[in-house]
Amino acid sequence: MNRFPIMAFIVGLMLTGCESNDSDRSFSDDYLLLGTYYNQGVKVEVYAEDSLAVGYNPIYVALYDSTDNRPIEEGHVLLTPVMHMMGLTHSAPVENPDDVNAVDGLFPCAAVFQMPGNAMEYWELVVDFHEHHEGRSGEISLQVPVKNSERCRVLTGADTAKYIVTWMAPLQTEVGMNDITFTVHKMESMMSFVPVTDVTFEMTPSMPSMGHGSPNNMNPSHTQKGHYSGQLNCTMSGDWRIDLVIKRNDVSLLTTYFDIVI
Amino acid sequence: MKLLQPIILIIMLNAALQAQQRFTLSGKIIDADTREGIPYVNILVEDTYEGTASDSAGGFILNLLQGRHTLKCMSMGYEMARLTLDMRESKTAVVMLKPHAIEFSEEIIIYGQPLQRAEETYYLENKLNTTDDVLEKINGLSMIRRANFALEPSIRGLSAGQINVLVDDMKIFGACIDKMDPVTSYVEIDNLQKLDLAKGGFDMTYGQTIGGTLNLKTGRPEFNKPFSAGIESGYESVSDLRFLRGHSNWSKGQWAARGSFSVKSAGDYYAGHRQRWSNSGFDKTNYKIDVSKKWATQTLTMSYIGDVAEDIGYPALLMDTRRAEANIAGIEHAWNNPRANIRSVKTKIYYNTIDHRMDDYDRDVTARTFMPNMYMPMTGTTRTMGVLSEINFTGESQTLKIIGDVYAMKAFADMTMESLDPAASPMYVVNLADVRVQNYAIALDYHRRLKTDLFWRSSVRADFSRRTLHDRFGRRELEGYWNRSGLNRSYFIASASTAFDYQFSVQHRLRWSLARSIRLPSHQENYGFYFYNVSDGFVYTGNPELKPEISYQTEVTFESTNDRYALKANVFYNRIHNYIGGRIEEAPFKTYYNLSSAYIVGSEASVYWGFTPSFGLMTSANYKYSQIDALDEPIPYMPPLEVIASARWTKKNYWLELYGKIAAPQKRLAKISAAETVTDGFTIVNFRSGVKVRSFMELQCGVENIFDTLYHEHSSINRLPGRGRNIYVTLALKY
Ligand SMILES: [Cu+2]
Ligand SMILES: [Cu+2]
Repeated sequence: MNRFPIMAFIVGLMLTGCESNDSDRSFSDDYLLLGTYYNQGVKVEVYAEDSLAVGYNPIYVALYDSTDNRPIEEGHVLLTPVMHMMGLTHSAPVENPDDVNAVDGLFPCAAVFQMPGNAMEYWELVVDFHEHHEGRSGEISLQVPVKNSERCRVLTGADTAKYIVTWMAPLQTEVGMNDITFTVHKMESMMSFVPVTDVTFEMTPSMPSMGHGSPNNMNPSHTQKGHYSGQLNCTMSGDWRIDLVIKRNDVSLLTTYFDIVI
Repeated sequence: MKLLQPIILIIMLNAALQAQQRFTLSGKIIDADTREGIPYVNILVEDTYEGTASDSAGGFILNLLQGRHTLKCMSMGYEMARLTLDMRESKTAVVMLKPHAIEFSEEIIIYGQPLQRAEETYYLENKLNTTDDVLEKINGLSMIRRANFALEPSIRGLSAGQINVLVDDMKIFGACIDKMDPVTSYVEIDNLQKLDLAKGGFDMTYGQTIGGTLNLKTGRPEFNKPFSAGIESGYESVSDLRFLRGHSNWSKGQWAARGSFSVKSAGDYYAGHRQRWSNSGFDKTNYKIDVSKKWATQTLTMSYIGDVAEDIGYPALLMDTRRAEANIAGIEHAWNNPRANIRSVKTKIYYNTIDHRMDDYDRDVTARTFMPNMYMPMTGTTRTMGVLSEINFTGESQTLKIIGDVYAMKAFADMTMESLDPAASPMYVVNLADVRVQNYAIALDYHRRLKTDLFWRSSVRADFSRRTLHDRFGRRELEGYWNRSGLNRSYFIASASTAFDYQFSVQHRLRWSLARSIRLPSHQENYGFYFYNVSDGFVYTGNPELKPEISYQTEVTFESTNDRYALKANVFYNRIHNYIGGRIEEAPFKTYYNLSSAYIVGSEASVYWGFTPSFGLMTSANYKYSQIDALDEPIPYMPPLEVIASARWTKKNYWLELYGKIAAPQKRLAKISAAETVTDGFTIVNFRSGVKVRSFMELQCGVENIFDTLYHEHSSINRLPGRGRNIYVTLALKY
């Protein structure tokens, strides 16, 4: 009986702990803030892991009530990248949250930029939200710089469809065993890209100047949402070429390679 | 063996003159251990028909003509002793005979006090030019040639991790992954006092081994020489070699010191038929300092060897040594007879560093088939420290030696690949990922005289070895190669050997030895990453899961020593389980695995004839047959049948030697493990001589490979030929 006040005190502490944690949370230590926008009384923060580049980019959205800055952790977020070039627009492969609940306060999204932005052509991110506290919904958009990289290939498959193959991870390959992930998307229209989940990979790393490869590589296989994970072994530092043959039903669909420097 | 050699004490007293020109020698022969008289010892006067035998108390009397005589004392169960006397008056002599003991190693004396047995002193003194020259002539040793520099010794066809090569009992690990730096290269000939060579795995006092132990013993300061010095300079035509070396000894009271240096510089060498091997010269400097202090029963010696070699051309390999540096230091404490039953206690602490740098900047890399169009500078380092403790107990007709042997080593090696294509990124690989080995061992060695004519020796040794990797980059390479983490490894191994020696007459002896000896994989065999092996063109990677090689071996040795000749012959059989060798993964890669079993069977024989005190003849021959079962081919670099013959005349002021080596062709080839081809037989004839011009000056000269034969040994890497005709001359001054 006399334990009850202590229990209440502990529970109270935990609650206040949680709340205070939520109100002065900050993601800018871990992520790069791309911008803060307001619409319909909702504050929208858009984060990236690093400055955006061609290839796969995780993007995070945080929602707040703009009046009291209370975090909103339940809702829908829909990210749409739009490339504006010479009056034309097209989109890019995108990943949106599976769940209405934020993960550690953030709604995780991702975009696969297949080309860089420049003075004439730029990428715009459109974020549609529908928050579940008060049911407000709206849209914000931001223009983002996207620098070039060698981590993305736009290819025409044996079936004449367009595909986008991206080197997703690791960003920094090390000597030794690396967990490696690629993404594959099919372009259905200028604005619609779908993950490809039914292909197989044959991955062959080699050092062109040495004429040898490496043992114990594991071909990437599908995990989820068009992601394919495997193991890449680089036996020494230097220039490596990672040759990929992507097959559907044992028939070659796409062939490409990525060159990396360790 | 030197420790156990006969100690001869001569006490001379004046005695009355006897009949004209004959004097009486009254002597007593005693046991060196018990100091009791030995009965029925045969005493022969060399070069005469005179002689006698000791009485039941060990006493004897001889009437000798005026002049110098050599007495030879032989008895069952004792080492033979030679004693030289100048009879100008009647004398008394006490001769101590050392009880015979089974020796697994044979001692080859290079400098210093000759042994009592002439055939073992045959290569004594400073009659050869390099340490390699000495090693090459020892029956059962062959040399693996990669350059005109630092040949790698192989004992009965086994080398590298299969044998132990020590300097003054110290463990030293080569830093070059291409084996350019054998440990033998750090001991210059004028520092080499003797070699303890134990063939086979019977002697495990300094390490468990399946092939043998070669222990190079260096010269120590002498307390009875207040000051002595020598300087020597020479020239060899075959490689335009010039050298200067010197040594000096100081002693005062309880202190003694010795210092030596050697500077050598050689150009390209010529093989037979005036075939010039470009880029095969070298520069080498070596210095050594020893300081000793002695007390009544104790001696403390501090030793240091520094060795720097630069720009050594390796025609058999893809690269050349740019710089190789060794620093070898040790402190040794020896305590003799601290207690009645303890003959000696020896403790040694040592540390050595080896730093090796090699590259192919002097090569045309565009013309190369293996990894063309890039330079590949490589570095390698090892650090070794250890403590070695040895206690010798003695009892009646038995001795026990206990050895504690602890050492730690670390090895790192890497390679940068610089492409000639400026667009290509530099490549880098770690070949030895800061491998650290900690080794703890204890060994027992027991010797007992079972009967006057039957001896028994037995040794056991246990080693615990822990191996870890400390370089992250290199460890990741190996983890990727083996597709797992946790490559650290511990081993526990134990070996045992036993031997019986039966002396069936004063002159004849038969010994039978048996061992189950084990050797650990070397740190390269466990953890090497991408070692290029020029002999089969494959790139090797180590295997942390290797099992130790286990050898069952036996040997029978027959020895016969007569007045004028000494014969030694043996047959041996060595069966190796878990033989470690490369297995092809995918060309050009091989990985070390325990292949299967292998065996070597062989025989060695040597005969020495001393026709007169000034003329001697030495002949030796050896043959080995080997097979690796899994590969159905012999062990690589197995020498063919070889015969050596040498005749030497020694006079007061000069000596001459004619030396010949005949090697049969080797047609049994290790094609898989070393891409061997047939090696033709050859004959090499050398002539050497020395003249004492003055008491302080000696001139040596000779012609090696007189007929300028173009040949290569079967153990020559990439069939690199031996040296062609070489005219050399050396002038030595002594004080
Ligand atoms: Cu919703
Ligand atoms: Cu080297």
